[in-house]
This record gives sequence, structure tokens and C-alpha cells, in this order.
Amino acid sequence: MAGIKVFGHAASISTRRVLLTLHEKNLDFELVHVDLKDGEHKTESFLSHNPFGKVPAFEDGDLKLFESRAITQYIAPRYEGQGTNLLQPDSKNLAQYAIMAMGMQVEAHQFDPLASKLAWEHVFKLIYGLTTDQAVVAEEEAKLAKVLDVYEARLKEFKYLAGDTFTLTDLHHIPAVQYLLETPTKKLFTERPHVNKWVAEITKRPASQKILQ
Amino acid sequence: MVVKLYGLVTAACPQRVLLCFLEKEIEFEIVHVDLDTLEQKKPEHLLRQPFGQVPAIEDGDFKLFESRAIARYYATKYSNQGTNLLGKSLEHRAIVDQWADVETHYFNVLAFPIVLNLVIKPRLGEECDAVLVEELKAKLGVVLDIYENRLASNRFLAGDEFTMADLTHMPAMGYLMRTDVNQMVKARVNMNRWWEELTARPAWKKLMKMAGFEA
Repeated sequence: MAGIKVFGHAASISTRRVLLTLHEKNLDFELVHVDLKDGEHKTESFLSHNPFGKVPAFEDGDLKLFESRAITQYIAPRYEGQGTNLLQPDSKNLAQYAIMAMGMQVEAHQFDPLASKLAWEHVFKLIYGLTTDQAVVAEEEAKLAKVLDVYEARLKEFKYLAGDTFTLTDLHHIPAVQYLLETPTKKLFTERPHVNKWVAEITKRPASQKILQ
Repeated sequence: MVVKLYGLVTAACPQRVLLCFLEKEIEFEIVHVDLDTLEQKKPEHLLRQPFGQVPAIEDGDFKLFESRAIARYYATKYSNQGTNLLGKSLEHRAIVDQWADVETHYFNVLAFPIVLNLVIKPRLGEECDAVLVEELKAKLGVVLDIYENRLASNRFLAGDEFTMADLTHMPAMGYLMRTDVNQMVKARVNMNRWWEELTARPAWKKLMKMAGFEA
């Protein structure tokens, strides 16, 4: 068996989404480092893994994939029997699945564009020697505040985003949340009691700690 | 009891769900939400979709929003009727998911603001940001080259058969093809071939008729 390989960068939000899933499922894998600073993700060799030139890319035996959320949604059912259950408690209940899927779309469309932009401004720009644009930060924080108001209402009713158990929907948020907790944007989480509690729960998980190392 | 779709037949995201219904031969009812008067931002609709967007569905007691989640749900629920949209194995489905995610992260992020500026703003009497459109088109060209390469060796995005990966592109593509972006597609042999196959599908033709775009 060829085993699981992740082609990516240990600090990348998207790569971490996949690493988190693998850790939660107690799966062995090899992380093949892609040097983003040196532009390795734009080389011919990497483009054969992901023609869009972005990390991560993934292999499980003969299956080759890119797009972190397609990868996590393959791993969760494929390895359903082991580690943390990242699907709904009754994985065959379609309505429950759809609610989890809806939450994953919300993360991709409503949360991630804003959270990624803020992580870029506060964290990644500095690594590349650029300066934070405070006007952009203010604008994006205002939008993220509105989204988190919706999350606050949701998390008043349910312990996690798709119900009472931790699922892929929550997991997809963790890497960006972890970065934002190290920035002034953290206040948007701490100001909202249910969001704050949820953030604390999802970031204290052993797998969430593992990806920070 | 028939599923209710809150939205309108001319908006791209509701069209994604409608196409799925049509491909799967699922009966539905459209409950009109008037975007021109910002009905989607009003309290009654916010109860169905807290982000103030269309579509949302109600199927008996079951409620859902996010067009791609809705389409996925119905494609799975009715996997035994109509077109198979999700592939034949877990691995095949993962490839379908991969290209469907590409639509969200690479295609829609460019297509949506282009359509907003070239189609929607003029309709609302607002000014189009021509500089932005040119920038977006340049980026879109790079993305379309990747699609062109993919479609050179695959009939559809996820392989030999039409799947959700293709369907999810169709609403925004439909609008882009009504702008001068259509030249970018026509200049690419495989993309052009792919679009012609997609638009020849009966479900698409039915949708276009419902939207008042074709006779």
C-alpha cells in the first residue's frame, strides 16, 4: 500500500484542514513539504499534483486529490470506522448530513473569505515583509462581525455548528480561527459568549494542538 | 408534498438548485423572493436564510440553505432517479467534489464580480467598474486555461460523465456567455465543446425557457 501523502505546508490554513482530519482519524501519513516562499507550488512538478498551483494536494494509494474540503470529505467516510467520527452520529441520516453540508458551505462562502483575508493582513503579510493595511482589517472585521452574529445565534441552540457533536463543519474553521486568536481580531470571538465557548472547545482538542507544533 | 424553493428562476444560485431538480426529475414549487426590493434582507426571509441570500428550501419540515448543499442533498436522496450526479464510488465522488470545490474557489470568485459588473449593475442603473472587470478577466483567463487542459483529456470535468461538478458551473457560465467573456470560452476548443454539450441538455433548455431566455 502506497499510503497517504499530503503535499503542502505545515503553516498553511488549507493544508492544516487536511492534517487536522488525519490526526483526528489517527491515520499515518507523510507530509511532503512544499516551499511556498520559494514558489515551489508554481513549479511543473507541483502543478502535476494541483494544476491551480495551491496547497494542499493529497494521495491515498491511487487516488489523487486537491481542494482541502474535498479531501476531508473523502477521508471522513473512507475511514469511518477509526478515530474521531467527523460525520453526524447517524452517518446514514441524509437530512443530518445535509445540515452538516450546509454548514461546510457557510464556512467556505461566508466565513473563510473574511477570516483568510484577516489572517493574511495580520499574520502572513508580516512573514513576507509587508505591512498590515488597517483599513482593510476594519472593513473585513465589520463583515466578519455580522457573520459571527449568525454563528452566535446558531451556537445558542446547538453545542456545535451541525448539532450536538463535533463534525467536519467545525473542523474546517479551526486553522483560520487559531491564527485569528493570535491577533486583535480575537475580540470578535471573545465578545460573543457562545462563539467564544465553541472556539475554546474546538481549539483545545488534541488534534488541534498537534497541528500547531 | 412538493419542495418549495424560495428564490427566483433568473438568479444564479437558485438556478443551481433548479437544474438539479430538473436533472433528477424532482417536482418543485418556486416561491418568488423579490431581489429588486431587497425582500431577501427582510425579517421573514432571514428566518429561512440568516445571511439574507437566495435560495432556501422547505421540504415538509426540512429546511436548508446554501445552493450547493441543497443540490448535494437532493442528488443523494434521489440517487436512483434521473441523472446520476455524484459518481459511482467514493473515489469517483471525491473527484466530483474536487472539481465542484474548484467552482467555488477559483471560478465563482471571478465569475460573480464580473457578472455583477457587466450584467447586474447596468440593470440597476449603477456604474460598472471597468478596470476591475479587465483585471478579473485576466485572472479568469489563467483559470480557463486549466479547465481547457482538463477538458482536453476528459469529456466532462470529473471524467466521462456529466456530474455535479459540471452542473454547478452552469448558472454563472450562462450569464458569462451573455457578455463579451463568451469570446474567452469560444477561443478555447475544449471549453467550447464542453459548454455546447452542457447547454444541449434538456434540463438546461427547460431552465432557460422557465427563465424567459429562450423561446
